[in-house]
Amino acid sequence: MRRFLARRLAHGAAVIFIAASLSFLLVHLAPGDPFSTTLDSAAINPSVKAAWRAAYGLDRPLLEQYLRFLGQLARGNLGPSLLQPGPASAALAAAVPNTLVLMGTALVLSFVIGVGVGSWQASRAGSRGDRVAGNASLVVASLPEFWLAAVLLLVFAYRFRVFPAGGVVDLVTHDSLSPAGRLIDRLRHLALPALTLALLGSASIARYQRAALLDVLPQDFIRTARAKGVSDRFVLWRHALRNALVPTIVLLGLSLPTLLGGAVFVEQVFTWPGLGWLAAAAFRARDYQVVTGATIMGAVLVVAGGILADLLHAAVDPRVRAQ
Amino acid sequence: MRESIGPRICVLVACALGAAACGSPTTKSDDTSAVGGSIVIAAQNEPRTLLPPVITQIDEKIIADQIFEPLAWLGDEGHLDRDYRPGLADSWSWERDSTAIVFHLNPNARWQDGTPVRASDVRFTFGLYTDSIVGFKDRSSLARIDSVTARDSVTAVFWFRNRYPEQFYDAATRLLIVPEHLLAREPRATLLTSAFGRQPIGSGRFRLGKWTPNASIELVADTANYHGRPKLDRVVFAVTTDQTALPTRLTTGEIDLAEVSTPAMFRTLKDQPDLRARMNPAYDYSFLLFNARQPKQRQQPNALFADIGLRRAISMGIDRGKLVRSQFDSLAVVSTGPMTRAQPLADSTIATIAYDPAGAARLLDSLGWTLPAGKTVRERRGQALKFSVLVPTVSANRMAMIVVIQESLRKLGVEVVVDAVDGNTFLARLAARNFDVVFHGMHVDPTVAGLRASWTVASARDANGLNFGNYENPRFDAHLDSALAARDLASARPHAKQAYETIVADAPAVWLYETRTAMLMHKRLRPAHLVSTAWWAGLADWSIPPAERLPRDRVGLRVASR
Repeated sequence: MRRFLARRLAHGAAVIFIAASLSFLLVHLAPGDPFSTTLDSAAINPSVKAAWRAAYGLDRPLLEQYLRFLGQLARGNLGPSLLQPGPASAALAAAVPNTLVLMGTALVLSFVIGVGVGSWQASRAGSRGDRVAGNASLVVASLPEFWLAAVLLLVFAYRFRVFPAGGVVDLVTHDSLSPAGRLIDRLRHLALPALTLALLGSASIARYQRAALLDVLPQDFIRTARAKGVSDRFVLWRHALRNALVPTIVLLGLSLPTLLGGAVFVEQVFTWPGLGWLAAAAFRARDYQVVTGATIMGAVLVVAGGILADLLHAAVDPRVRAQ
Repeated sequence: MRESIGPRICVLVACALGAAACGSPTTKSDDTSAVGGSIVIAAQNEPRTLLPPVITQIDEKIIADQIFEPLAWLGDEGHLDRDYRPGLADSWSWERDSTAIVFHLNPNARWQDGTPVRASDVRFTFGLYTDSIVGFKDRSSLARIDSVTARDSVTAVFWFRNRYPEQFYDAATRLLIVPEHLLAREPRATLLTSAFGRQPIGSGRFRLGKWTPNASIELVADTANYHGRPKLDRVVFAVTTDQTALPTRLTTGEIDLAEVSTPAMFRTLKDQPDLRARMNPAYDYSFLLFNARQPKQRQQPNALFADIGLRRAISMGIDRGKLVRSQFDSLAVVSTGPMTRAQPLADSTIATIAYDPAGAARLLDSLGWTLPAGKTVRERRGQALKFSVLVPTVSANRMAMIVVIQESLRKLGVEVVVDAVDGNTFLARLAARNFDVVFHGMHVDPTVAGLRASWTVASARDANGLNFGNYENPRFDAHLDSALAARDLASARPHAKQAYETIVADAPAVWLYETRTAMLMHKRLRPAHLVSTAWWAGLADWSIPPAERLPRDRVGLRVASR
């Protein structure tokens, strides 16, 4: 197991290195630089921009910049943000917790909803309810994130005014609330972005879960349990579901990259200052270090998701452990 | 026994002097019931910095204007030559030959760290703004100020190279005064990312409370300000880069004020019961700019657009009125030249090139650009009348309009290739003048001085100049120089008109539209000093009547001031 883990970590490190290098090269090769992004800056004399570039080492050959970047990265330092005072890692450190909260909540919600709906469908496979839920999950799974986000915004924030339309907390009152009030404030702001991601994720999970249960339900041990007089509900939730959860649990780790991709759009719509929001803003502004840092964070999440999926698979399936 | 009145007189005189010294005419606000409330304003971009000489975005300017002060603010009427209210200076006087203005700083003025504001700060600020390495984007507008001296600790003198109509505007409003004692040791080449830009200390009536990266900037009332505290407790700028949620956030009151630039959003929101709409005058104009030189061989005249006749024919082939109405509804008007109607010297009576497709066709024919039988594109000596238009994909308006323009010109037998590129590529090619035609836009201030940087012979020949289309006409330059050297706006006007007539007749561009921005604000807000150039200039005097306050208006200052 240790060797397996070491090998997976080594693969992961290689993936992260390649992602960081590609990100560095692509963002540097893209037209423009941190000092030519706004239309207004056309009014600034190019000689001044040249001085700025020199001050930040952007006038050096790309290979030299790349080697300097690798040297900094080896020391765990992404270098200074070109557009904000302080290191790029500080900007990322402020954004990552917001994304983790959003993704974590969405992940839990999507599994609760997905497993629940999938199991319910499997328990009445072929019924009208199963068909309706199956079609509905297919439709939801096909929706673009930004569209679903806009619809939820319209319904729950604009029409019914149940949840706020943007931000992480109330910008004015949050600091004046009691600890419980602050928690509620955070949850209210989290509701719509998390629900958007959760609905999209849960649609796929429901389909997986239904299929997995339908594979398990005809098996002998289920028939035996029924023959012993165990109730259908007990058979489903205690016997069948435990065995059918294996592929779904593996899906947990593999969902991370998808969730992160979705978060980029959802964070834009709900003004949620997370990693996706920061990466998009940094790319617009060509803040090289922050873009590269965000890419590395994304790669870390993808790698971690893959390793997590393997570990979970091994944890729940003794055959995989034995291999 | 007679009572001595001497001490009473002394007290009265002291009170009067104190009041005169402390009070700007408009800003003292001691009525506690009148103060309080919070407003949330949508900011379209996360500011990079709030250090005035290096700000480039409008959101940065709006926020910096609350933390820092100029020597004087442009008055509510917006007359450049006579309408100002005190800022850091509480009075001013002109030297006899009108080539110097003496500003008397308010002796009670303090930086937010408690240090007195001194005339040396003004001198330092001028040095910072005019240092080329700092990169102040309107540095050319200060070129006619020779120097700034400190006559004594509270008297700053601006010395001008010559007398001109916008002298006072340049000196009093362009510089937001910054503290020398906090910035003197900052390396000037990297001011853009200096820590001061994220933790600014100014002399304005709001100070920075909390900056949450990529989310919001909270300004809180500076209760110890020498002008008196602002009427509002706080102003929060919420970063809302994506516009999807903006209408909802305005409607539900999460955001109190936002500028909207799309007609659809404006139509949706203007009739909301809690919102009030206000149109701001236009200071942006957009145009199709012809390159008079070959894109990659700047010494060579452009094979197509060196010809005024062709430029005029293309102008005549575009129905600008219909184009602007269909795209912007009431949020834009047809442009008349390199100006906007809000500028004091603008002249909308100048004859422009009218839409006349038949006339355009005749003109093209007369220039030798004829339509061969069976072909759809005009030709002259075997060369097709075809060119590309550089358009930034980040501008949805320009991307939509260029398709309509393409179709209009196609009917005229002119083939337009849309060269859509991302914002960075657009800027790089604009600066390199690497285009046939570019769909460009400009922001102007109330003065006409900016024309010198964008349309004169000198700026065309300066490789780093902003005359990207290489337009050259010495007659235009001469009229502009005369306007800029006139003693006042009235005498400048005829020269400005001649300059405008010259450039409009030369058609270096198809003048398309001036965009106006619509401001939507919550009805409980009571704005003050809505200056045409800067609605935010009087934000410290905005108020919210106690009876109309929302729960969040009652949060008070205590929490925010932590």
